[in-house]
Amino acid sequence: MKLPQLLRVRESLASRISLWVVVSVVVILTATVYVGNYFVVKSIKLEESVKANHILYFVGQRLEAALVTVEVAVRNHLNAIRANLDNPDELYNITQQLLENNPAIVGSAIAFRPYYFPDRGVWFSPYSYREGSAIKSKQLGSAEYDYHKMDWYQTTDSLKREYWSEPYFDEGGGEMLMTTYCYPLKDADGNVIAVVTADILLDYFSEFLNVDSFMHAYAFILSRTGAFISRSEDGLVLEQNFLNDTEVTSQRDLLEMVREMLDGKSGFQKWQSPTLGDSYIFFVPFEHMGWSMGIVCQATELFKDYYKAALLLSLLFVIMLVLLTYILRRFIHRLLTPLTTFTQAADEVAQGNLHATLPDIHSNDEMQRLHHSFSIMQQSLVSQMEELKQVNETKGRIEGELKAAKDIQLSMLPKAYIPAEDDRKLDIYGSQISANDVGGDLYDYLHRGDKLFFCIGDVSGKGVPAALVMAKTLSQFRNAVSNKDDLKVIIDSINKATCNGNETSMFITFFMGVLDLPTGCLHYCNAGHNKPLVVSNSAPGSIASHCEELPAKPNLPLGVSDDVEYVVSEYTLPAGATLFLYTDGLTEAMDAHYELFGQERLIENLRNAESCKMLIDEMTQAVHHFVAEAPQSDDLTMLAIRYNQ
Amino acid sequence: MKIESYQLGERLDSFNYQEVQDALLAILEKGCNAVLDMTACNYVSSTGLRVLLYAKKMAASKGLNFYLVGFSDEVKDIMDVTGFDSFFESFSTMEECLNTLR
Repeated sequence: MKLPQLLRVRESLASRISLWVVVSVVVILTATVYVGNYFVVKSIKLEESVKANHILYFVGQRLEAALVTVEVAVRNHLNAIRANLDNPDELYNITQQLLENNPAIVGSAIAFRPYYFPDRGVWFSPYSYREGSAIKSKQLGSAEYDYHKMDWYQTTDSLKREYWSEPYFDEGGGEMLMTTYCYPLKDADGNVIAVVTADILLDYFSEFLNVDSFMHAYAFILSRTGAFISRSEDGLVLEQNFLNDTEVTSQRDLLEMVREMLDGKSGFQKWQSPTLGDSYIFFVPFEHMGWSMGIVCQATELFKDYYKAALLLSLLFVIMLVLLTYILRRFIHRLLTPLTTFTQAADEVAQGNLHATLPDIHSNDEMQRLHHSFSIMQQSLVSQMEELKQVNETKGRIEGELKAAKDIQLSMLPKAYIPAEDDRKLDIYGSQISANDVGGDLYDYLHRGDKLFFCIGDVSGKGVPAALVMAKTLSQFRNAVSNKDDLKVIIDSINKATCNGNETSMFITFFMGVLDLPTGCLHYCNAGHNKPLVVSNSAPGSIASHCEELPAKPNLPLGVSDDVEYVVSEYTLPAGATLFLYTDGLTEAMDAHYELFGQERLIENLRNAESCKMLIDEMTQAVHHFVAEAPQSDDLTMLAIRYNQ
Repeated sequence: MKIESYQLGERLDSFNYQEVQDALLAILEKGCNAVLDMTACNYVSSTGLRVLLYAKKMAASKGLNFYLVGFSDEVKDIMDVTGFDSFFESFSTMEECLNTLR
């Protein structure tokens, strides 16, 4: 696995799960191995201790057999010695025979007590020894060699029993390490008359102490006084004062072990050897001599097989982990493959392909449930998209119809006024901007004979219902003014028609006027509508200083009640005056802060323009500027009529 | 004669006409004469006027009455222009309304 891949572990579920499993396995196995290791090491120690004890036992057996041979040889010659007690010179031959018969014995003496043979003086000790291959004899005792004061003699004399001496260096001989078997020769009364000795070289032990075959270990002997005998390449080594050795006394464990050895116990002890490093000492008592024997072996040797096995196990462990990781990753990857496909499918769905292919799931598990949920989601999305499409289609159709209705409504309003060639009395311009597709505002005019009939109105409410009422009112106005002259009659008829079947309380604020063109006499009726403004003649472009509301008697809007008596007012338009009619969509145009355009702004912006079209265009611009980004709240309708006379 | 009133906010227009209309109809449905307290109101749109008209018609159809109370100057202008002031029975204060009707 490359490094970037490792770093992406957090992004991949498979990697994360593998990581967790592997980490858990490592932790659990390590704990298991740790505990197992404790018992294995313990059992190895025990096993090796048993093995070492066996070896030591056999070494002991062989040593004992050799020693017993020496003891038996000495005893076998006791009778001969007793038989020749009256012939001291013959005793030389006996010691000589002892050596001849026992190659292990390097020297033998019969050391008599002082003056046993009065004629021989204080010291008499026939002694035979080896010199090369020859056996020689001499009398050993002298003033220089006062054996009566020596340890081996005194100990045997006082103990009155056989005894093996502590190991010692034979200073007189070839600097050899020796031990001596001492046997007390007693008279009939049990008094010791002489000590019969047999010397053996400790080198003789050397081959017994060769335990090299046992894990390159070395063996040693600890005598009962604590002398330490071990085997080295140069032969045997004796340390008389082993117990006082600072190296031993400084190591508490070792000292403890030495005490146990001297007490005749067996066991083993871990030891940090200065030459061998980590070591173990196994020891058993050598009862025949009252000595103790031990084997020192290196821990690495002891645990060689264990280390090999541990290394192998560790290797296996690593291989197993690698394998486990690989298998887990493959397995989990295989398990999670459908998830990848689901992700791709989800992406496809997000991009609009609702029929994205889902993975085949044959297992009856969470994946199956996910598959189920996913396909339900897909089906639901498909049906909802279908529904949405239909709704959009319906909406589009309605919008189209409304658009057509708006066109129809606009076509109902009068076209631009085109005066006759010779007629310059009138300038008329009307404008309507709907807040929605269709609106409830209306205006109209009709030039019939020498009269101009005109109206402006605002149906309460908005949208299609208002538009229908607007269309109905407009057609009633057309119908009425086409054949009637009397304003009161006309407006009554429109009101009655509006009231007729007006279940929804729709009403129309309505202003209607009839201008007598020759005289400028205006008859009008204001049915609840905003009062029109009269702008008097002044220089084009200047602010309309002479601007006033058309005085009108109030009347109820159309459609409120059918028994209303509408009151008609009369006003004479001055020459050049402009009549400005509007709906509340102008004064109540709202900006983003809900502030109304208002009557004051209307008057401020009302200029006596060159034409009615310009006047209304300027007003429209002023309103747009005021409203700015705010949405149009109501239909905006304006009608301007200039009377030139 | 049972009377119940409805307190109008600052405006009566397309934003709140449905709410006001429903409240007034609920009063009339209970068989109470309805009073619309317009003391706080300073603007009535044409949609608002329609609500007033509708309420009056509904009251009349049930043999009940519908009263308006407390015209501000702005509202009074609107009522004047539309001629509604002559069409509705109105009082300048709630107190006057209650005293008169009891």
